[in-house]
Amino acid sequence: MKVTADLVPARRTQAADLPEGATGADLLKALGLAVDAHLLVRGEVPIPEDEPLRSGERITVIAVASGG
Amino acid sequence: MLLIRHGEIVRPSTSNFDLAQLSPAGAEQMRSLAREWTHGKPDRVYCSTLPRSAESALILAETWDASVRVLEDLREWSPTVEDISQEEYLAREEACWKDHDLEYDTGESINEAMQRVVGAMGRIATEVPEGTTAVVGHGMVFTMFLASIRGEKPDIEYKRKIRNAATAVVEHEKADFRLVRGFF
Repeated sequence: MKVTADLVPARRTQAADLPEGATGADLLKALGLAVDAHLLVRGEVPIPEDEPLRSGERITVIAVASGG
Repeated sequence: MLLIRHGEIVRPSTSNFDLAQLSPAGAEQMRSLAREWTHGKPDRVYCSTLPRSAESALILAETWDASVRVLEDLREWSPTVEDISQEEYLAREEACWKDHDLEYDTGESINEAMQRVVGAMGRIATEVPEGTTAVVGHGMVFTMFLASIRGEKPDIEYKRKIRNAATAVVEHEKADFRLVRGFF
C-alpha cells in the first residue's frame, strides 16, 4: 500500500510503498528515520508508532528529540 | 485556556528556527511546569507542527494524561523561510513590524498571520467549550492573539518579553476571549 508522509517543518513530502498492515514504525523505517525521534500525526491527532496505517493516507511526521 | 510558550531550544546558528528542538533545559522546564501546575489539569494540549512546540506538548500531555492535537495554524510567524543571516532576518522582521501588510517569501504578512492565529484559537475554544485546555505555542503567535483580545496591534516588544515556558490564562465563552493573566 502507498502512504504519503509530510515531513514538517522540512516541507518535504515522501511516498512509501509498505506491505498491508504496516505500522507507523514501518513508515519511519522506510523513510530512514529514527522511530523514537519522530511524532506521527494522522489529521491532527498523534498516533502511536505501532498504529496500523491505511492505504492511501497522509501522515504528518514531526522530528522530536525528547519524544512522548 | 492556558497558553504556554514552548521550552528553551537549542539555538540554530542560522535565522531559520523551524527545525529547532528543545534543549535538555527546555524539556525540564516543561516537566517542571507540568508537575507544578495546580490550577486544573488540562485534558487536551494543542500545539503547532514545529518540533519545539510538539515536543513541549508531548511532555506536558504525558504528565497531565491529556490528549494532544496538532494544528498547522498555530505555527510561528516569520518574515521568511530563507536561511539568511541573523542580521538580514532581523532587518526583514523590523520592516514587517513597521508595515503589518508587508510580506516576503512566506506570503504571509503580520496582519494575515494574526487572522490565522485568531481563527485557530477560536476553533480551539469551540472544540473544547468546557474545562481547561492548554495551547503550547510561540512568542509571535501569542503576541498576536493577546493583542487581538485587547483590540490592539501586536507589538514586537511584548513578544520579546515572553520567556520560554511562560504562561498566560484566558477565559472564553465560545470564541469570545477575556485575558485573565498575561505572560508577565
